[in-house]
Amino acid sequence: MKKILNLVQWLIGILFAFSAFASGFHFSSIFILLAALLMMPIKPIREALKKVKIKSGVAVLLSVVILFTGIACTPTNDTPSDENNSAYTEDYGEEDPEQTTENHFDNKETISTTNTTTTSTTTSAPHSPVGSGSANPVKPSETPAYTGRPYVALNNNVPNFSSAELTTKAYEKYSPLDSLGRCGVAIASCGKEIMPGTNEERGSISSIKPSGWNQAKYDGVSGGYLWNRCHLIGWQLSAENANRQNLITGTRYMNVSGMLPFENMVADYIKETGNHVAYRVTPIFKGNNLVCSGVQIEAYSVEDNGDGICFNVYCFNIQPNITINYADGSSSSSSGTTVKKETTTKRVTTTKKTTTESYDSYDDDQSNYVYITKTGKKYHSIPNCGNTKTAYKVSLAEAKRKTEGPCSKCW
Amino acid sequence: MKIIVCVDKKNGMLFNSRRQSQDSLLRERILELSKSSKLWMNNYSAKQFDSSPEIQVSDTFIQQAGVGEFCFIENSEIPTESIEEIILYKWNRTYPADVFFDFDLKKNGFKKISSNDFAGSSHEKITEEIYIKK
Repeated sequence: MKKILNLVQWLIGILFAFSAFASGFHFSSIFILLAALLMMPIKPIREALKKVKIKSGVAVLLSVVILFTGIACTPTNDTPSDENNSAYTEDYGEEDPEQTTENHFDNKETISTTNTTTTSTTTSAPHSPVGSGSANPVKPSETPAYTGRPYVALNNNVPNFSSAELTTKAYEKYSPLDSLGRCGVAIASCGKEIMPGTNEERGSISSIKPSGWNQAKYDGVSGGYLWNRCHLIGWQLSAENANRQNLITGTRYMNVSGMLPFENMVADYIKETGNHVAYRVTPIFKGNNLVCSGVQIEAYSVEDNGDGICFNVYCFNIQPNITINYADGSSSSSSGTTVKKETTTKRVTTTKKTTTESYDSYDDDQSNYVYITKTGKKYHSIPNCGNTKTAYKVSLAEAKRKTEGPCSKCW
Repeated sequence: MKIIVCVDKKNGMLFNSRRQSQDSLLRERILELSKSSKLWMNNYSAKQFDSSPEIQVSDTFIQQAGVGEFCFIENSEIPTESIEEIILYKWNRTYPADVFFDFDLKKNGFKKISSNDFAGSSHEKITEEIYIKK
């Protein structure tokens, strides 16, 4: 029996000794090695212990205690990386939103005052939350104040996309309408794959009445009608027509002066490079308003890490000189402009054809529309070229089909 | 020097330090225009061109360009002196802008001598306007 006990103690002791160096030598290895020596029935050690009145059983017990002390002092494999992680998170949090965007802004300032050496560095991708962030929409209570320009930069033009959203695989995703029938976030990786084909024509979107659609006509508004059916992700980027999850009630001003320039910039970039652009549009509704206060547009070119396209802006859903009730889309002139108000009532249905054409023609890019006459062989950029009074508005594609080409006087 | 600048309908040049637009056929046209001379530009602009013998790249190109040589300016300040000719390419579209071509052509004594439209690779109509010092 005693021999078996000794054998067990030898085996356990050897195991301790092995484990003392298994994960490399450190301070705790001394404890574990001491535990091993106490565990193993080594004659000189046991005799020395007997002299100080420590019996074999107590030595084994002492060995176990020392062993646990050693284990407690051993740094685990997880500890270093935990420390690294927390340090990383902290650095990331400090660097990104503040420092990076500040640098970016500084560079932009320099650009307009010249230094070409500096300007060349401003085009590099920002070291920012882009690619590791997530959507950070403007809070309805914190929408920027309108200062006379149709859009304003947010977060120093740095968007907040997650790495999964920065993909070279084209896709588009729209939010379901909420209980009030309002659109939500629309996001896409825009590429040639989802853009309209060369000869593809726009379809009608007049069947859609977005939330807050309360049409009115004002003499002071370019094109006449206050409200446009605004694509969240523009037709030229998505080829989406009557998709109610992609159409909001937006002023002519927001559509043409606010959103369209950004769509143009992104569309051109994709056409010329074949690259992809992460693109997100978030309508910002205050409370239960049926008409949004504005839209946030974020974009980032994927293949070149933002060298070509990088912005984060807010477009105001306002119309100069018109007062808008965002709760229901009703409006009134605020500057004494002659007003011809047209609500969505009987008139719309009784003059359906005319009204429909009018609404459609004021959606999106005005430059896609031209003027022709029934008998003319040319199309015009203005309605009264040659003092004609019979010109009517058609899409550029239709004009090209019906005429021989552009008029040399007005083009 | 002869400077070449691209602008949108509102004379915008850049937004957030990035060019508003580009067009491969326009680049070919610029190379053709400057083939018997030197075409100066900085590193930012050079990235969109394939290498070509007439292209000279320098971040101080405006100071280095000589008489009769071309400067393609995208994100540098427009010089106020030594300009013999200005070639404006108009995109005929509106893009976002925070840097504008605000050089006063009339005030600085420039006169338009030609205006031509041509189709780009992704732009239906680009207008080339050439101005010379009176």
